[in-house]
Amino acid sequence: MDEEVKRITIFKVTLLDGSMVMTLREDNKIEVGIIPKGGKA
Amino acid sequence: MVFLERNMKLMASAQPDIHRKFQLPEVKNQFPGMGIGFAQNEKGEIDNIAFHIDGNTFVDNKDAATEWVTDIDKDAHTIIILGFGMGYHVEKLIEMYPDKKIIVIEPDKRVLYHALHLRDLDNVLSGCTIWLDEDILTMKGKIYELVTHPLARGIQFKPYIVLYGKFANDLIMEMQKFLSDWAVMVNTKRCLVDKWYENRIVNAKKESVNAKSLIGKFMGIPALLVGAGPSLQSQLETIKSLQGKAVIIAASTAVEILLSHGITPTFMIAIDQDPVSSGGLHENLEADVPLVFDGQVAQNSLNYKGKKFQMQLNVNRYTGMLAPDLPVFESGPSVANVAMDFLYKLGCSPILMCGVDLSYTYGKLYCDGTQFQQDMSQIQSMKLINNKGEECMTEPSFLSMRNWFTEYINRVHPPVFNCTERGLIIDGVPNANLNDFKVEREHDLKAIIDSCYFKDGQPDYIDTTVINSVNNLLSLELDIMKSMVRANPTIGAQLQQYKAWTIVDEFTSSFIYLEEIKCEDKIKNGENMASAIKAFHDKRTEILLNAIDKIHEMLQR
Repeated sequence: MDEEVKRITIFKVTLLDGSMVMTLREDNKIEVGIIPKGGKA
Repeated sequence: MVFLERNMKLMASAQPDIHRKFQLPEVKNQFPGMGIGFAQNEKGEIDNIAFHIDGNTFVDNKDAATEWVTDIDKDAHTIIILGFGMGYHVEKLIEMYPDKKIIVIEPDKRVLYHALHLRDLDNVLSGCTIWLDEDILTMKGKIYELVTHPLARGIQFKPYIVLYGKFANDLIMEMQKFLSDWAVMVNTKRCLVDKWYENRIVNAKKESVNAKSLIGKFMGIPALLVGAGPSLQSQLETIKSLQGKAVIIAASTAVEILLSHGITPTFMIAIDQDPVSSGGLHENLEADVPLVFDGQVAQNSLNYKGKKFQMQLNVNRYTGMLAPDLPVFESGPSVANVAMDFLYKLGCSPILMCGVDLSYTYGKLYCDGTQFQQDMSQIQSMKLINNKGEECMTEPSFLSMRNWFTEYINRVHPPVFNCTERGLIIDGVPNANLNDFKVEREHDLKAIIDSCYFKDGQPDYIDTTVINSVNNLLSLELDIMKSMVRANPTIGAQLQQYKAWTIVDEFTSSFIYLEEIKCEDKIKNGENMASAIKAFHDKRTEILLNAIDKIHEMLQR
């Protein structure tokens, strides 16, 4: 994911070692990414 | 060991489905590597469950429950626990987070049965939902509903990896697929829905034959589902030799590739709204390849002079109002997905997939022989392993197509083999070599198609005389709905009484969904709730009114 783009988290699945997040970008595009524990969306 | 009867009574009222499962002998999940028995404490009393795995024995630890519930995500509305054990951790979670929905997956019926004997489970049975002894597919379906529900915003998954490591990984993979597919679906719909409707409304007036006449007419005839993937190159000679012996269906761009190599497919199928990539393929095509289409296809695709069969995708809420007996095929992220359902409903068997690479084999998007190539700098690529065990580049939309195939095949069980030379493995579809299939018998496929297309020597076109009256009725309803929305920006259920609502709903749902998310985010970040909700309703009204105006204008064109 491009860290410069502002995002709203739509859905988050919290796992033991991180999370999967679905985010909404300012341009209305939805993206899915994986964030390790302690990482930033 | 005195709790069983009491727990069972409580379960009969709190979790009747689970109670019923204990009355049935059926067991779906056996974990042969896991032995389960009662465990004794230091005083020799039986008070715990013993799990025997790979020569090791584990017992549930009551004291660890408090620590286990410390890392709960405050944003997760639902917590899914994999592994019931003695239920201490579940009880603690219910106690600490009474507002969260708690689901406990226990794949092995024996575990819960042991726990029911050993302790008072009053608080646990009444405070959570248990999914017991379900197969992985059922479990995936239930999780899909949770993950993709429009009001769902977060879940936390806490599995007992020691006991159910593989089961947990399978579920995590599924959740990732669900999210990716959901994202692809919303993005696609947001960008294309107005084009789909414009095309459906205009295309409905054009001449075509109802594809229902084809259903079941190719029973037992082998079929090739041909995609345009780069690895198709090596199979073109074999495919050429199968003309007349198998139904060859070209998914979108594949038609151009096949024709350029001297192969005339039996059908081409098209659902793409793009006037260049879809219309450009069909409008000037001279070859005799019957076109199967949904109304959302690019308008210039229907300039094709050859036979045209119309079907309806299950997401199309308009065309069926004009021709209720059109055969309905399952929509997917790619035309190749739709082609699978089409071939299955024709009765073809087996269905052999070729050129469905779902990856950038040899660093390309398409096989040679097409005018279209993709700008590779624009793709969001990722690495996976292909059916040859090699690393390959793919992207979310390809994964979404693959996931669609897997879900469809697990549910419908068509006789499919993946003969794609190099591509992503599709779970549920056996890989096979196209040359291993001995397809010898010739079929007069053209005669079958002609018998479906013509009646008394003339094309048996769909009756289009009802279109104007249906469009006028829908327009009238849109006028009424417009007044209702203007009068009451929060109006909801009352709109559903109108047929036209189904169209407006499909047209607007993804835009309204995104506005809901933005509204929630504003509230979460401290904006006044009333003003955030008012701004949402204003935006929703604007979206609905715009959509109503657009659809109205399209219907009256």
